Amino acid sequence: MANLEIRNITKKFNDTEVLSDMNIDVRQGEFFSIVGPSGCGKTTLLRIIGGLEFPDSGKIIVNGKDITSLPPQKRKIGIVFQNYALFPNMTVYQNIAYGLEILKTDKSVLKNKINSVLDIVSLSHKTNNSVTSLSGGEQQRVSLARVIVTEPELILFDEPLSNLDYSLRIETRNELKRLQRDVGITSVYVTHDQTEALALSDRIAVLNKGVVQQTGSPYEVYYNPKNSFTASFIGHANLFDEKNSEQIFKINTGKNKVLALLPEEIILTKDDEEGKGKITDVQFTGFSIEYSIQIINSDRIIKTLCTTTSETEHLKTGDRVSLKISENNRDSNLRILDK
Amino acid sequence: MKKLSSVNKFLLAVIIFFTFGYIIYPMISLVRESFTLADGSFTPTAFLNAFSPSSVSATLNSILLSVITVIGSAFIGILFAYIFQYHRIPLKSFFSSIIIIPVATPPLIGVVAFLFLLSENGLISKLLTFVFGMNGSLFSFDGWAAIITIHVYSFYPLFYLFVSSALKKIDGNTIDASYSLGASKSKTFFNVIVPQLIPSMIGASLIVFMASMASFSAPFIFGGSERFLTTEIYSAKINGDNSAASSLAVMLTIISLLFLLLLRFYRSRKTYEIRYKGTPRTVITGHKKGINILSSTFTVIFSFLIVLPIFTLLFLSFIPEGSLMRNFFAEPFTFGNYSKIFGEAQFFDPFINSLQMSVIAVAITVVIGVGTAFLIVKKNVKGGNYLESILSLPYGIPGTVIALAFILSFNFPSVFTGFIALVGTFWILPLAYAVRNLPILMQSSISGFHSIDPSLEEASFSMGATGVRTFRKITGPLIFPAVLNGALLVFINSIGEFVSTILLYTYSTKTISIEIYSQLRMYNTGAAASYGIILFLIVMIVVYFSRKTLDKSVGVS
Repeated sequence: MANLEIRNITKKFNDTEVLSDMNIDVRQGEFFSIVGPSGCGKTTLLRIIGGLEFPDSGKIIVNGKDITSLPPQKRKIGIVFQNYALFPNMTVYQNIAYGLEILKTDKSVLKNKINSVLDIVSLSHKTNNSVTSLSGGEQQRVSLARVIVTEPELILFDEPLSNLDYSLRIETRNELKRLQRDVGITSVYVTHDQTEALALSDRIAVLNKGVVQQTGSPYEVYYNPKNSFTASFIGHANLFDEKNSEQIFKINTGKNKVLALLPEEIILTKDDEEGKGKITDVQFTGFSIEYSIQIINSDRIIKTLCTTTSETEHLKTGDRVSLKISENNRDSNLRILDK
Repeated sequence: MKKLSSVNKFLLAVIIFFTFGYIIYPMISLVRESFTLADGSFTPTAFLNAFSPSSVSATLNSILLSVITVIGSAFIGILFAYIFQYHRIPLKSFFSSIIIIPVATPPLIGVVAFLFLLSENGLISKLLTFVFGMNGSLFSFDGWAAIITIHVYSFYPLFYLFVSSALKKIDGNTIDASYSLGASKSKTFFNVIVPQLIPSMIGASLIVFMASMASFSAPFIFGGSERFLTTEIYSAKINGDNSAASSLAVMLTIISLLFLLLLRFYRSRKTYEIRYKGTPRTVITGHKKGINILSSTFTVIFSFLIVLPIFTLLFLSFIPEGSLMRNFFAEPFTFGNYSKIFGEAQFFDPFINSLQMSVIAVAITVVIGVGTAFLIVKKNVKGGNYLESILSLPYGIPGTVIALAFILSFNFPSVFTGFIALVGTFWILPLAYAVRNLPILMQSSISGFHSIDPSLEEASFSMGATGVRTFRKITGPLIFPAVLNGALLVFINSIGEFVSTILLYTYSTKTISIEIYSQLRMYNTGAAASYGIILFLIVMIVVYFSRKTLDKSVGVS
């Protein structure tokens, strides 16, 4: 177990700056996610922590020790890859034994460790199977077992769930959280899926264009985004500029500021005369209904969400509606953010 | 570029030494000789040899032969690829193995088998005499017709393999999509199926053209008075006219390399490929029973014709020596030919030679080929693409030319010959085989290295493994099938090699192919046929194992 400090990391590929002056602290035993759209530099950062790439400047510090220039072999950092990277020429057992053999683990200890880790990931019945014969979810569990059995100081996850089907992804996500809590190894998790990051993490860093936008708990980044990027990326917030927010909500944001409202914070009421919006699309997903609304005299489209059990009346495409901010707005202070 | 360790630097030095000594330097010697007159004076006019009337007609004949070979091979190869993909054929996998047999058969074996089957004194002619009491030679099998028959026999499987692999990649859904958009059967065929096949057809055409230009055995045995480039080079060399031989060799090489260049250009272009989830659907469109019966019958007959020459060879290997001129159907079967080969050192030595030379050739190609692939793919060595291009050149240089270039370069002691005159020794043969086959092994190693997901090595490193351990436990085992497959191919090509051997051998370094040829010259059909059958069996066993290892090759999806 360890804490990780990322200090002023900068990385360029050719002339493009992928990471600029990045600073992140990951605390001991924490499940920390780095989330951002593709191309934001999150995988590069992960590879730098793992020693698979080297930064142009800056430092990687684990437990107070500078490991920036160490090769991956000397870092004691486990990596769970997006495509699992299981060795296809080996069985499940051999894959898991690989790291332990390098550590020169005693034969009997090795066997016990492998058996207990196979137990943890519920794969004891597949010990001697070839890894190529496993399903995606099973391969994922082997790759996790292979890493935790060596008891690394830190585990890095590179979008490990992205190759799985939706339902398996949810299942494995829960499994992963349980395992991390039981084993307690500090984990850094990279993903482009903000729901995954919110569900799994103790804390999240939101990345865009190689710059950390915000770091905080899932609640913080969801309800108190520091800028419009975080608001729209994490909460799919609707952003209203000065003119629109004045017109619709009678709220003055000030110059170059936006009002950010989450889809579930906007209440719609049917108003054929005065309504400021017109419903262009209704999507029913079961537990909720998503409305797309075009603001009258503008091409701006916003999205709102309400649960199907709520008291609001159900609306149709073409209805004119008035918009109101929900009373339940969590912190009841309005999010006025930089553009 | 990553920093090279001293071991890797040594490897790179060995590869550069090899490239210069055994590819670049021999080609320079050849070009220099082509500009040198018989009296040793260096003059551009010497190259006019390549434009003498007889040389020009040889060049045109070679090109014409290659064009006809490509057309014939394409016709048969594509037809069978189509039938096997879309029609219902009983015992499909059995027949599809049968019809690719010729591609693995050493060219000389094919030539000899056809000779025994169709020539004036061949099996068919003898059978007709025996059954109908007809007299003497009813037909002759030589010249253009014979050469073209053998060429098409040997090369159509290349078209078959290329086109059928392209057909397999066509997603049945694209065909259904075309129908559902209202396209007719013919529009679908020409606008959806054919465009997806064109790259493979171009590739096969170029390879068959090159192989046909370089072909020696068939024109040599059946050519008669017809001139072809390879046979002209051989006779010029045997007549001691190195200058004329070199000029023709340069000519032949230029034409072949032009096609190699085209091939590389075409391969570097992007092919149609869309990645999607799920497996492409294959369809069988042979709904009509009549068509299936027709193509099945056709397949059975054709497969019989394909193995017929080999069975002829087998039959003759059991016929006593010297019976060819007599009516050999009356003769009793004998194992005499085989017991002679295995019993007498004089007849067994060629086997030992061929085996030793092939194993040495494989060893050399593995070291240089895998080493080069490793340095290019894994170490991103500077100028790696140039190195790869130069080491691929022998693929476009006919065996006759390589042998000639070796003779011109290694007939005096130098640093590349281990300070002895290499010509006339045992070592020049495996060296020539190795150079000829290096591109095969290097390319299969390169694609082997490319197919390894880099994250496997990264995973190994992150678990603390050293570079050596990672290579021994992960990279090595994963490229092994590709390397083994390349190595077996090199072995097959070397064990029956005839084209460069006939220029490079001496009495003590006779190989199986040379022995087959000289037995043939002495009308010892039984011995020639038995050698042929043994060689054929060795090759087939190796092919069998190489297919097995390919099937076992691994990969996480």
